[in-house]
Amino acid sequence: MYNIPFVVRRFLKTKNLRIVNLLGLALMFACILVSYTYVKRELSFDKFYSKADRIVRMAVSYDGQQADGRMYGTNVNQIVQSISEIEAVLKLSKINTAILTSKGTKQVITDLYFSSDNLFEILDIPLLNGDSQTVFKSPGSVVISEKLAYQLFGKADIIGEKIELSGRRFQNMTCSIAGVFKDMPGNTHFHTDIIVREADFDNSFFYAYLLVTKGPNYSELEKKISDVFLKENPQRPGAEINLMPMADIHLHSHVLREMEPNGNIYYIYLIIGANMLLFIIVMFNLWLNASVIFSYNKRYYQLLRFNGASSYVVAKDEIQVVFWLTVAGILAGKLISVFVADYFSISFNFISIGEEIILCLFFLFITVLVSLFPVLSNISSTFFFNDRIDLKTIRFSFSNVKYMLVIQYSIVIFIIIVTLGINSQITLIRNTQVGGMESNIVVFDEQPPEIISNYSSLKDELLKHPEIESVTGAMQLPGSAVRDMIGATVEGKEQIHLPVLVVGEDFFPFYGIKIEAGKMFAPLKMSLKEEEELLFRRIDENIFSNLKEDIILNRKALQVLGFTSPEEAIGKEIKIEHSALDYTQSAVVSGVVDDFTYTSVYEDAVPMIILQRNMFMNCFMIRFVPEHETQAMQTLNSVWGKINPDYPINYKFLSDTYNVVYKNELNAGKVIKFFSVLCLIITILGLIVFMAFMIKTRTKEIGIRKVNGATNREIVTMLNVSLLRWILLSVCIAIPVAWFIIEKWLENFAYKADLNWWMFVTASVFVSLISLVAVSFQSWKAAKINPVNSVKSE
Amino acid sequence: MIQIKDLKKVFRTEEVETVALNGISMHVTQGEFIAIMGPSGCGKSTLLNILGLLDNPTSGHYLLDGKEVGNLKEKERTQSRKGNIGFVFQSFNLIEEMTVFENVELPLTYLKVKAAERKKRVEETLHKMSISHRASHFPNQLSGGQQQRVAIARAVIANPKLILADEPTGNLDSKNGKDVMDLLTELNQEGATIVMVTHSQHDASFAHRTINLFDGQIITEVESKM
Repeated sequence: MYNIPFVVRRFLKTKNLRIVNLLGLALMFACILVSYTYVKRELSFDKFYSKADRIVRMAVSYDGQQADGRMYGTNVNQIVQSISEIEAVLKLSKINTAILTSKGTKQVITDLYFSSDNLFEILDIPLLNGDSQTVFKSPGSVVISEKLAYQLFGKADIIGEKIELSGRRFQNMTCSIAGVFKDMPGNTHFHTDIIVREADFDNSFFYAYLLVTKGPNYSELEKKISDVFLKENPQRPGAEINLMPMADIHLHSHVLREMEPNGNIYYIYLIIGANMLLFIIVMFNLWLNASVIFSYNKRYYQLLRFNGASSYVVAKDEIQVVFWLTVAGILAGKLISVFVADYFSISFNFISIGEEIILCLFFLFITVLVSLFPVLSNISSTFFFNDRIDLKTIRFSFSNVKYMLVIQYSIVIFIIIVTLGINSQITLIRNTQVGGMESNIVVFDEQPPEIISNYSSLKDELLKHPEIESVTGAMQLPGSAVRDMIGATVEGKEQIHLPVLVVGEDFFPFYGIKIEAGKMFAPLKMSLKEEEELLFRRIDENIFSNLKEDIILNRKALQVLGFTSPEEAIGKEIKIEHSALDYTQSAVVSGVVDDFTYTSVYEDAVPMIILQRNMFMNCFMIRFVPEHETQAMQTLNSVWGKINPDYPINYKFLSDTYNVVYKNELNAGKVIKFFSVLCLIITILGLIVFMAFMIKTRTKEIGIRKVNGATNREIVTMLNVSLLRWILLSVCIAIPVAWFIIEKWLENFAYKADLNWWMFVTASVFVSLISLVAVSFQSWKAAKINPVNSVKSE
Repeated sequence: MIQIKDLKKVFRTEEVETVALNGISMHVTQGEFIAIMGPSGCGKSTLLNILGLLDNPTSGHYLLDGKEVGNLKEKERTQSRKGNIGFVFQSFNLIEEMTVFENVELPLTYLKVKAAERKKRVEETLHKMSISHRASHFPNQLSGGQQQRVAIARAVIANPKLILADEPTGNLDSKNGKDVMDLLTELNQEGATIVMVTHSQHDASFAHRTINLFDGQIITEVESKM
């Protein structure tokens, strides 16, 4: 009885409503597809290792503070031997920067790992060449990735080839390639192209992975290890062992010095939540439109019934249209998903055809079900003989619609407020981080000693060019952690350990950090060589120089050291002690600066003692004139080539470093913005359709009111106010919920954006205005209709 | 009260031009009760709409209380109509979502009469129309006669000088029709000017004067024998 032209005809009859539905369904399905594959990828991290469920990473936290991901000087072997549940321990240490020399060519590598010899027993990384049983048996063996193998040798069959490695943190070594492993997949918490077998981790920071007999009740094991640890290290009473299952590291681990920036489970919740909210909005529109369409079609169904059709026929007729509409929505959604995935740089590797089919069927089922509800609940109105029932059902469905509208609007206002909240936190991050707002700073991460020794000539040479504004250096880059501690003793008080930041000349002016009291560092008097001589003298012969070194404190350090005002601290002598960097025992506070965020906004301001040296300028930072970026880059490359001809240049923009540190927040901002725009569009479209329907049913009433003296303005006001009332109710629902959620999210940060009242007002006013604009045109048109025509219409 | 001279109304579409009123001249004095008769499509309703300031004539003059109102803008028409003209329709035109009370109250709200005053006047008028007991009912809970009495109550609530009735008994049985005509006569006797369009010779007999329209022109004007 039914055929495609018929369905098309029925579709065209109410095409505006149907197109709104189609658009909503297509966008929704696109979001579901993309979100599904993204979430699945995030949840799949490290699960592909066959022993993943038995591997945990161990970290120690002291006195309840955030743990460092790495261990240092801990006798892990002792722990393994004394606890029977632990089968083995894998030790990995990461070297940020090293120089790899192969066949005379040097290159900088940023992801060098040292590993204990049981790597391939614990993690089954597939080897293309070499035998996983024996690959790490001989000292000095190294495995490299397929990618690096092709890059260095143009082939993968390279066992026995030699490469040289050098770096600041280890002895130069010549390694023999013992295996080539398959490039690491994206969904693992650390990536590398080169792993060196290492026997001795006594003097390095390393990550410890325990292979345990069975998972996953780790709290007992944590306690056992803690006991052993405390017995072995009685000098560290506040220590507590934390175990993190390897497969959970990506989403749940928040230790300091993660191997790579991780994801965050909260953003999985955020994505699922945003999808659900959008889903509710789309389904409500579907429901609403189904009700509207049904009431348009009532006469048609009454006639069908008059000619003997059953309720089943009526329902089937409606479902048929919805079914094909959803199929069209799914196809369009599939198409749109390509663009959405592209926008978020997500690949579809993590969704199989089978899963897609299941998603399609599920989606189809839900949409048909949702469209069926209003049909079934209104089907009695097609029993055309009874006026009373007829009127009742219409009025009933209208009040339902109002609740739906309120829920939709609450969602839209909620999600917009959350967007504003997240945005203002991101702005705060950029404002708080040193150089966070600037795009004209390039940074060089940890450089090898050969390059560091050329730092001052590099700086001098660069500053000869007008497009380079300023050059400075520091021990760490902004956005990383400052963890080196220095012992400081103020006369008459106990020694306190404070983080130390070693900076180069011009550091404070470089970042626009103002001195609050005292004065800036004077230019350095010694050269790098002289400083090194002093230090070696101290280390080898324990002879301290009698120099008094200038230091600058931040506010927090001032407080920790017990000074009440900056003025009190200026000129005070402080005894300093640090095994690796002090050649003098005495320092004088020359200045005090306000707390500045050098590490990240997750941490509260760290007390810092700031030293100025030539030594330890591990990282360089260069600021150029913003308008002359291209030229500055050219200068940088040519000067670098002249000063460090043997080493390839490897810099990045500071803004990119921050983008990596805050990638979760930035992603969240992007996702939430995207969803709030979709929610808004779909809601407004739904509103327009609803308003058209409402006006259609009220045309006569409007005419009567006009005959009885209502002006056009009064009609428009009446129509708009009836809508505004519901929006206002939505505002009242959305604001407290949004406030609660943002507050909760902000707990992640030590530096929090203030929740300003204007965010709530802006969101509410913005949504109200958009809605008013969307409906006012129709209201005005309705008000303009000559009552002569509408009053007559029966 | 009403002076009409050479009134024309032409409805134009791109292809078709229909002359609904073709040079009508007439006058209505204060306190008169006029019936307009004629076959379907003769222009009765168009004339009534123009008299009621719902529509503008294409040409000609319409003086209401000596003031030219034939070419007012829509806003000015609404202003002049407010409180001055009451309408009664064949199909009652009550708002279904509003109670009887609210329906009758409507013109007063648009005249910005205070709530207490509105309540008093609505109650008085409903009482006069003998439907006070139905004040809180909805229109669809009333009979046709009752609905028309509510509509008349609404038409007179603001004490308009002119009441326009478009076939007020058209949807009613003879008993209810007679009640409505009696009500209109009573209002007329109290001083209201009434212009009524009707098909019924019987209804027209209540009027002082009957104007017969045909094809947009006045054919005859007959003074009632009463």
